[in-house]
Amino acid sequence: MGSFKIGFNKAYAKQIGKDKFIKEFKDVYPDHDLSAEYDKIVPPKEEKPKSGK
Amino acid sequence: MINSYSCKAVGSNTGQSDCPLIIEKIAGAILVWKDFVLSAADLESDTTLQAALIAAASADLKKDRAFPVGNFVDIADNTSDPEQQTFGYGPVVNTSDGIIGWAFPFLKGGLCLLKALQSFNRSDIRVLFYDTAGTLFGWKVGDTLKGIPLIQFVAPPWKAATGSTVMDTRVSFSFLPRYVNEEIGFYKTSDFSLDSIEGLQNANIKLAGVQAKPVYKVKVATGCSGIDLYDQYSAELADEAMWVAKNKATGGAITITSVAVDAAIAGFTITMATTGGYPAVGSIELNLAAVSVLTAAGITGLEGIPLTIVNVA
Repeated sequence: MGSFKIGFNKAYAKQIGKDKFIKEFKDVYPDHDLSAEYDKIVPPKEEKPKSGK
Repeated sequence: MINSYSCKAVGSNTGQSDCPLIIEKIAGAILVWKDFVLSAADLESDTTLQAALIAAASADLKKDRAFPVGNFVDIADNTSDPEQQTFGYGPVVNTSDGIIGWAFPFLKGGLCLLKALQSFNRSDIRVLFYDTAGTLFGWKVGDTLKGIPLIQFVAPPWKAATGSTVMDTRVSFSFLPRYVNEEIGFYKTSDFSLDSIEGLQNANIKLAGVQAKPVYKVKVATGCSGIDLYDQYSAELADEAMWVAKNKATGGAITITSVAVDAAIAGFTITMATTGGYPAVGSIELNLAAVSVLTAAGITGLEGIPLTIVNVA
């Protein structure tokens, strides 16, 4: 994973969604874990534990 | 009422205190526009005055901005003598007070500052002065302080150094004496130095490295002196909020999608959305964000100068 700082436009990232985000930036920042970068911007929803009924 | 007129009261008490106002050597000036005013609230205390001057010196729009020029090293007083009329019976009377003409040589800033000042030549700029004792003075209008209206502001061409003198750079002001006599307004500072109010520097953006639209590589350096700002502000500038872009032809905003540090060029990688105002073929104006945005992010004393990027087919 690259170590240099990237300032992503968070509103834009949220607007285009994770798949398009990764596709759009993979050639520009090939050494970065873009999935993790996106998750920092839009934290994945935690799955609710099943009630066990 | 016919044949009636009122006379303005003349004369003032001439008793003296032990603390007279003496204007010391003039150390600097603050160039301001016609509409600039330091209100009574601004002049309430050193704190309010300092805040007002800092805000003015870093205003987002040039039309609202004040332009401090400090570190004067001398004065050439070219004030003209009062005009006089001599009557046939012998009396001589003054017909005007003459014109004040002050020229101030400066060293700090050199040619870079001179060029900036020359951009005000023939403009309607006004001036506040301050002295070495911290007295700011200008034109008193009511309970406010405004810039002194000038007959002429000139930053003349520089003169070459000689065997006995350094390069001569100076700025000169001419104005009516009443603005610093009957109508003078002043504020004596004690808790801060007026020299600490500094003007903005240009931050020039230039393309660097390989460009592959809509990904652009740029560097940022101070205007005239060309000091690279990468070392000082790389972390702060790697933020899309510190940059703005627009379609130069339509003015339409272009979304900057990311900004990253590029250590290889000591610059920045900027990506843009190809939707909205982005021209596949045409010109883009890329700039730093407004001065207030930069300042809030800790990037102080700088104003971006836009870069035009031409996208070709």
